[in-house]
Amino acid sequence: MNDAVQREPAAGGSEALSRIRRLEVEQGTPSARAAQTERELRSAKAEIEVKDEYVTSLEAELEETLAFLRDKTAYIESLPSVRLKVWMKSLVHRSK
Amino acid sequence: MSICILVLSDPTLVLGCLGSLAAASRSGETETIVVANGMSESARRVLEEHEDIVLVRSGTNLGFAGGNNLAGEIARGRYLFFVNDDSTVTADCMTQLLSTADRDPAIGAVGCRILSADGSLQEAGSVLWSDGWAEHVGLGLPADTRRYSYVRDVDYVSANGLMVTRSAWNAVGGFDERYFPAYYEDVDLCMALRQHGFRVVYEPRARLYHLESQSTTSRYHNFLMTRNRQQLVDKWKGELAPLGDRPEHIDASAIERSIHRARGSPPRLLMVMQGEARDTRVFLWGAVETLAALGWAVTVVSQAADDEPEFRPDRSTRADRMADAGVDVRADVDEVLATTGTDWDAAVMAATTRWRRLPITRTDGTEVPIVRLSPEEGDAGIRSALSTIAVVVNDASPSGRPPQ
Repeated sequence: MNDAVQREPAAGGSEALSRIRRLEVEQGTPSARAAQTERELRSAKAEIEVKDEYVTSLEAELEETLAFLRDKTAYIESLPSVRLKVWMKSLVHRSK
Repeated sequence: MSICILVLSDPTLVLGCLGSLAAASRSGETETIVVANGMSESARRVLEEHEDIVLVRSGTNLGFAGGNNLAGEIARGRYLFFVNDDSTVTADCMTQLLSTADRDPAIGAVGCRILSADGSLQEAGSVLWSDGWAEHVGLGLPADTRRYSYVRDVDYVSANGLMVTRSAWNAVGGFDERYFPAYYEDVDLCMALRQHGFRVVYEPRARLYHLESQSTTSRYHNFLMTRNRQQLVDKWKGELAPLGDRPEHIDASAIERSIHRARGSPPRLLMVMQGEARDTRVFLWGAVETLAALGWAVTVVSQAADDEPEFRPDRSTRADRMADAGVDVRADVDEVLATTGTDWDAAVMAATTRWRRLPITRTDGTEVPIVRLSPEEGDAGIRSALSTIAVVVNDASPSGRPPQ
């Protein structure tokens, strides 16, 4: 099988042709420009969608972490040794 | 051939990539399309100085799939080669990919052996499980390892260093842009290619260096991986189910099982050569080639110096023939049994190896039938012994089906 580019010699072989192709691609016809705009619009929407999902996932993760911290704090505060320390501190505070 | 490269921000990386591609491409037969995928104008100016590329500008980042689809639309080659801007290819990389793609019209995509900048192996094809989890085969092994040095059908190959034939690309309609901005679009493409009857193949002689570290992870990266993996599962649930559950620990033997499954679960033969006469060894290599051509997955263990793998661009060496035939050539029996496992359908123990006398027990407790050849065995004796292998394999094959 021939691996040559199908329609015309390739860019690597001819800088002039490459320049012409570049102009064709970049300036394009109105329909090509419309297709590119559609493409960019599609990706811009996709980006918003993905970022929205990311925000939602971060919010969920933050809520989960905060809930974990709340549980841990409640547990630590319920420990007898901690409660004793708190009580003693309050006594010292009162004596002042 | 059309080479498609996306550049997001830093334009300096792609210069090294372009240099290596120019050295590896045949002048006049290759076009290089660089998509400035949402790059700033100042960064893009560096690329505009290069007259030998087709530079395509996109005002926004179209994502990996969208950017490459744009390149694919502009491309005119009969083959599309996708490569990352932070990668370089070896001189014969493209030739090797083309040679493999041309071997069978059913081959729709061929992937490279990807090496990291630190000299380790990054990917020798990849495997998948039913939950969409993907693992790169050989990740972290030394670059010069003999392992995975044979051509084989794979679950997928990364889109960095991926060659797709035009007919296959057109049949599936390019990358699915739902995997925005990146990850899993290459897995999806390979699933789609197989669905359309194309083979996806790994070619070890096509080598590519990926300069970027793979160890960098971020929360956003992990989010995208998880999100897009779920998209893959939602889309390909039926096709992924037969790939089996992901094991709790993904070790070498788990990956080896997936490799074997991806090859179509052919009967497996282990042949150990050591210390036999040179004529006998030549005969055995011929037998290996025949067995591989019949569809058996053959692993040969040989420590002989002249069995060291040596690949050439014209594929004229025995190592080349073995790689083409999908024969896994290794140097150490213990290493093979430790990594590849013991689930062989049959084994041939030749000559003086200490393994000649030992049984090999499969994971289900059964013993592997072994054809033992003695050093004194002449060609006639060896022929006779080898002729029994077909019967042994067919009787012992867990799948109960003859080799194809």
